[in-house]
Amino acid sequence: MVLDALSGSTPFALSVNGVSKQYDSGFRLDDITFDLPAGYIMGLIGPNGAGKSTLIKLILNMVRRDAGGIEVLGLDNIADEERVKEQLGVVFDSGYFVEVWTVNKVEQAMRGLYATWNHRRFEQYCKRFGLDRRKKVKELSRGMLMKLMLAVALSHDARLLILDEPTSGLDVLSRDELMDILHEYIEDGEHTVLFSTHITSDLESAADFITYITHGRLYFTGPKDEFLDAFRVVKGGLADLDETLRAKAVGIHRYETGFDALLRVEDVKALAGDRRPQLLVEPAGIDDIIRLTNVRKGNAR
Amino acid sequence: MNAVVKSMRVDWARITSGGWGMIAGYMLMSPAMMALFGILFGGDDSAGAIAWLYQYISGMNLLMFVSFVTFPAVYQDTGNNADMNGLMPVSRRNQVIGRYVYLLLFGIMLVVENTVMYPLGFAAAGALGTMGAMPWRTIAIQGLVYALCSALVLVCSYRFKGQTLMYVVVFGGSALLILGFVVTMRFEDQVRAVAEWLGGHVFSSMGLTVALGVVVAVIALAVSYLASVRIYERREM
Amino acid sequence: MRLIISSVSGEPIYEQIKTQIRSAVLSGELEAGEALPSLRKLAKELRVSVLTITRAYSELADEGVVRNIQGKGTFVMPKGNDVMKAQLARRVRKGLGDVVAAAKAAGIPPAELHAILDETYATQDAAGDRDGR
Repeated sequence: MVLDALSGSTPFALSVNGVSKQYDSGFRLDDITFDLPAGYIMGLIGPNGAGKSTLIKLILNMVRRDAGGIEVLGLDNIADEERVKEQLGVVFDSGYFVEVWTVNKVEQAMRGLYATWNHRRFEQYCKRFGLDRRKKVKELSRGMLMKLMLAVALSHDARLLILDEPTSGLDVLSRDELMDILHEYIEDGEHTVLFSTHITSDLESAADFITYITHGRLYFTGPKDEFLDAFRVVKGGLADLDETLRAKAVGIHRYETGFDALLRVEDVKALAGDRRPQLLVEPAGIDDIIRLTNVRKGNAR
Repeated sequence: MNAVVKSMRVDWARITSGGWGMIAGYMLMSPAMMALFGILFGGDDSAGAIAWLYQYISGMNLLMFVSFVTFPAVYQDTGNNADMNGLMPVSRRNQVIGRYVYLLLFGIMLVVENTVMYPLGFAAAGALGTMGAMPWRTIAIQGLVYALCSALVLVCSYRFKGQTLMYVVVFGGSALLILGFVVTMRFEDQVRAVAEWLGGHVFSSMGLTVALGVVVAVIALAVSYLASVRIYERREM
Repeated sequence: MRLIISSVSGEPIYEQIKTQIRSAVLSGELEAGEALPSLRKLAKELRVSVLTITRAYSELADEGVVRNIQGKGTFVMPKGNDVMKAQLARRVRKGLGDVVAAAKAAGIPPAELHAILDETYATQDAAGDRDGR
């Protein structure tokens, strides 16, 4: 019903289709497929090493894919690389500028790259973020560096903004400010955000869609509410952890005095039939889902 | 805006990372030194000293311009600046082309500077009248050496990164020189025979010599360019 | 209109938004024909996802509380419209179902239940009059 609003007319800002990538190290990103409609925020989540950064590098054609296809704003990301990247803004987890550049020099380097560069807007963002134009990149804090990359991305009117772990190491205020800007950014329905993070509280309210990758595989992609509605966390004492529950659980975390387990909603309903008022059933948060779909086998037993 | 031009503008920002003044200083250092020594040596009998000095200063200028060719790569390998290549709206091939255009531009600047420097030295010494013929041979040879060295250095800058690139250029360069020296010593007769043959059949003709130089330079640059594109397009960033 | 989101209530955000808009419409705070804030603007203001607001609005439209006009926005419907009446009637039936079940469990006969209903109705009318003006 919600998705009715999206079907048909809404074009995809990003379309990843069966993308695979094998590294010599043995890590493999396997057959990833998802679509991100224009005008929304998608959270790309997963534990460290799940393949989030690899996926972003594949979108940017920084690493070569072994199979599949990627379309950005309706264009092939390799065949139309230059046209794609003109409309793309990227914030990496660490700055991509030469460290001895000043903020002024950053603008000088970046404005040459985009016909759509807007000097006044860059100026406005510098003011808003408190970026000192004479400061060198290496003198900026992590938060400031992130804001500088954001200012660059927003000053050439990127249609798709890709953020790779932008909030790691940032304080609450900077993260808050970032989320405000992202909400503003997508307000007109033309601009889209792909946001990779392992700090999921950033996404809990803001994200429209979630793509969850773990161990190089796609676990879920779709509206965030569907993702959260699909699971429940069931808690109880160790005595309650019987065969049925163990078989149904997606993941179980046991501790001295009890356990919490992630179950699919339909399995919880089935369980509710037979018994057990002593079990506590709670809505699952993004963190719960990531945590409990990645419990080590030894713990889950 | 053309993609190659875009990439050149970014590379220019990289080259001038230390400030415009520094680059301008580097570029004008050789002519300035030439002028300075001209003034110091001043006088009608200074012709020999200036011609002698010119050999060294123009050679230094050559090395300077070869090193400029590596500047974009060197700065790009500081921090995570290489990531910028992944997000700029310029294909990898066009990024490579931009660097080779710089190579050519620097080559032209080198030749121009080396040409101007000679009379400049004499003028500064107030001995323009005693200058005699222009040292075209030296200028041409240095142009050729620049083409060969920069072609090699630029392809190395795609193959090796940062610190490694420095080692490769310094040690690889030294190794090549030593190798050349050893080969010349070991096969002295053969080398002399080839040199004599060339001297008799090619270098005796001005046109043929120039043509051979140009062909060698073009081949070196073309091979270097193709190798760079191949290496860079395969690289995973 | 006042809209606040609780992050600890456990109630889904779209549900909270729906409830608050619905009661604003029913209480007359939002008048028929009035425009709701645009989807994306409200999402920005409340810092929640666009889809959350979309869901709240479209479910309110299903209930007949508001109506979405393509390209124009979302508008409050007149209070007595048929969809809304039917929807409200459904809610009344559902509520009464619960009440009857509870009454049966407590052994309250239908006549007594009727009396309780009349009494409650009268009390709420009085309370409504006091609050309303």
